[in-house]
Amino acid sequence: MKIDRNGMAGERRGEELERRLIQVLETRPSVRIPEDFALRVAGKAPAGLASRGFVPASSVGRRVAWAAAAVLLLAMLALAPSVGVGLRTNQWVEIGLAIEFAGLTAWLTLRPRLQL
Amino acid sequence: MVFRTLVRLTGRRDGVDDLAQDVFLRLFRALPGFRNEALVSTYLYRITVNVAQNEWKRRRRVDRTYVSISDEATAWEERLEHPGRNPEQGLEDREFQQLVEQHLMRLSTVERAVLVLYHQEERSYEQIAGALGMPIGTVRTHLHRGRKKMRDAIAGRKETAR
Repeated sequence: MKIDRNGMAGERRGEELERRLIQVLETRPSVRIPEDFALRVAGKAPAGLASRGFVPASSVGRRVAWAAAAVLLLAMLALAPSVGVGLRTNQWVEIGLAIEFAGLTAWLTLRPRLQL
Repeated sequence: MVFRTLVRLTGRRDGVDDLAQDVFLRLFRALPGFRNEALVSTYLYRITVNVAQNEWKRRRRVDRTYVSISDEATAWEERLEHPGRNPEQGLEDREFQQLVEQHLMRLSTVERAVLVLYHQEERSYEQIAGALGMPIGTVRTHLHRGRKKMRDAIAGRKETAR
């Protein structure tokens, strides 16, 4: 019986310790941020970036690239019926368009984007 | 968030502004290559943990003495105190707080980072895994192991004190 009581007391102590430990860990330290901190960081930030801040780069280039990809796709579809029966050069043009299309879509999808 | 995480991870308040500055400058430099795969906050936590780890390594090289952040009287310790508790209990709370801080500093850098991000910063397992670049299972293991180490060390110390 005594052993059980000791065991229960030990268990309770363990639970209490766990509770207090988590309470301390969850307590956020109070910090004081210097008033000129933002200015200091902006002053040391690389030139371009500091003035641009967190604004993403212009999306004009991306829009043009998407439009170009659409044009390429239409051109490939338009040329597709003549590839089998037409001139051999049409095949090479089709291949060229396909390579350009693949390169462009790869650039559009894999290029790092900045969205904050 | 950057400041308080740095304070907890490095265990010091002095020089934290310089470290925080380093964090933001690194973020600035990294932003052009930022991929939309994770939240910026996750990215920021990753940089913060890296800066804290570098500082920890640098400090271990410079001096091996340890100074607890609890050496400074701060509102942080006061906040732990329950208004209804008597001064003796308040003192005990403060000692316990210092003990936790000491043992937190004795954990490995990864365990400490996981504990701080989980408990103090209230990040999810997924966010911690993203910030530290490790699988979720490993985050869980570090969290439980870190907490167990601290619990055992504190319990052992209390037993010795009795």
